[in-house]
Amino acid sequence: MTVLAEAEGLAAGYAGRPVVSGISFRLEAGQRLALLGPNGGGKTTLLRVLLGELEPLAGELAVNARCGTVPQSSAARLDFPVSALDVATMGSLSRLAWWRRPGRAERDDAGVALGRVGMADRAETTFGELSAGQRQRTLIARGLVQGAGLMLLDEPFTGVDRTTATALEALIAEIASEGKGVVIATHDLDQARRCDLVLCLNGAQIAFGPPGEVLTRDVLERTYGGAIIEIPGGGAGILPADHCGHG
Amino acid sequence: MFEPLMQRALAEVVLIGLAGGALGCWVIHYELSYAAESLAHSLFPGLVVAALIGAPLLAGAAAGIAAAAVAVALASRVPRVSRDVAVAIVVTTLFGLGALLALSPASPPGIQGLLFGDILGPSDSDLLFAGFLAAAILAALVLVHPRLLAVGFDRGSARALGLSTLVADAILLGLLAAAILVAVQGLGNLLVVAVLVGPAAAAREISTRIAPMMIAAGAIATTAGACGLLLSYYAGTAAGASVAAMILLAYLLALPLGALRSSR
Repeated sequence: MTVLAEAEGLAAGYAGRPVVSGISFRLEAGQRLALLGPNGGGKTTLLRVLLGELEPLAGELAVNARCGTVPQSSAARLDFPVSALDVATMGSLSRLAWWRRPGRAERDDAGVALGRVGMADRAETTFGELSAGQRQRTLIARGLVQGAGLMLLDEPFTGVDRTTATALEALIAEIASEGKGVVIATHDLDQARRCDLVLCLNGAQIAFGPPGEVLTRDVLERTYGGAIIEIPGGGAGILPADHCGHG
Repeated sequence: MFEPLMQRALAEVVLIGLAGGALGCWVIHYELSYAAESLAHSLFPGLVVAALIGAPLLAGAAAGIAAAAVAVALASRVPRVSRDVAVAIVVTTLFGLGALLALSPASPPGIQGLLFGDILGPSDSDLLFAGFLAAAILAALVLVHPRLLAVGFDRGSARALGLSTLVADAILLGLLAAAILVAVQGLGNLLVVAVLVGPAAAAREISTRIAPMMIAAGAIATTAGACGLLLSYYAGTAAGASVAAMILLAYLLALPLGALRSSR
């Protein structure tokens, strides 16, 4: 299998100070990797170093694919006067020389990508007027137009309802099944469970491997630094330490 | 129908309106309105010195911007001075210095025009220069349009798309400096920001895509400019201030249209 990204003892952070350290993993084509951890645990920092925005402070990192990014919904400007089609078309810029404008062919590509993510009928809608789930789909379409081999999604399920999240998950699984790698930063344990690999992260790497092996009670307690509560009827939920006392 | 003086003033207003209106749409979407104001004020001493020694205004503006950038960088290194305080100190100091030079009794008359504008006074060569700059600004905007759009929409993903936020910001600031140069002759340093922010803010109320917004902003700016000139011609008011007042009026007229559009 093609290795899309591989890290060994990686540390990354800002101004020489590591936010995450001891990261070792390997992601192959067709796999979905969940980065599971609390807010401030370093998930976004790890995505930024994968993207090449941050240089590793220590360790080794090899990324062998073009990265497409789906940022947290709040990171893209909702007041920007662009349609879903405009956003998807932006993906073509990585392939064009700096003086060339996206033309008919690029907009057609973007239209096809919007169709693939189920957004064909909203192509002309202003991005800020789309629902959270539709915005994620549009940004995924931008990554498809870009021809990204590795998709980096930062909290894609935040602010979307259960039905939309399920549909988004199916779309992500479909993209992975075509041989792309997908990295999903999330704090949703259930969604992490359905990925091929999980990397638990809280400042440092707590564990890495298939969810069945990794997601033990001990690992989750160390990841979230809190207690795990049993949910009646089976399953477990996490009570993060920093959320205690907030109702 | 008008004397040549007025015809030249109208031509000047059209050039300022087209360049300032179109560029202004990027200024407000990149949230650079305050930067535009700071830039206009801090390059002022450069303009005055260039005018005093007979150098091209463009060279003066470039030197003024470079001096301001160095001064901001130095001021923000002073312990316990935050970046916005540093910018405010540098901008007011430089603007004060420029005003001191421009309003000194030893300065030749006409230098004050850089402060308050002299829309009725452009020579043919001034117009030619403004026309060249305005055409260059509009051509550059057409060229970089898709990339400015992609970077402004999602700065965090710029690198993944093979784009640079630094280059996009630098291009916009360079164009901003050029637009300030086009407009300073007519509107003066104090009112330049009116044409960069007002028409674009009005256009944002009536259009939902950036290309039509830029066209609308150019149309609003040139119409308001021409109305301001006519007002000043017939009512004897100060020309630059009349243009700025008409731009404000256009914005106030666009507000209810925007409210109507968003309520639908």
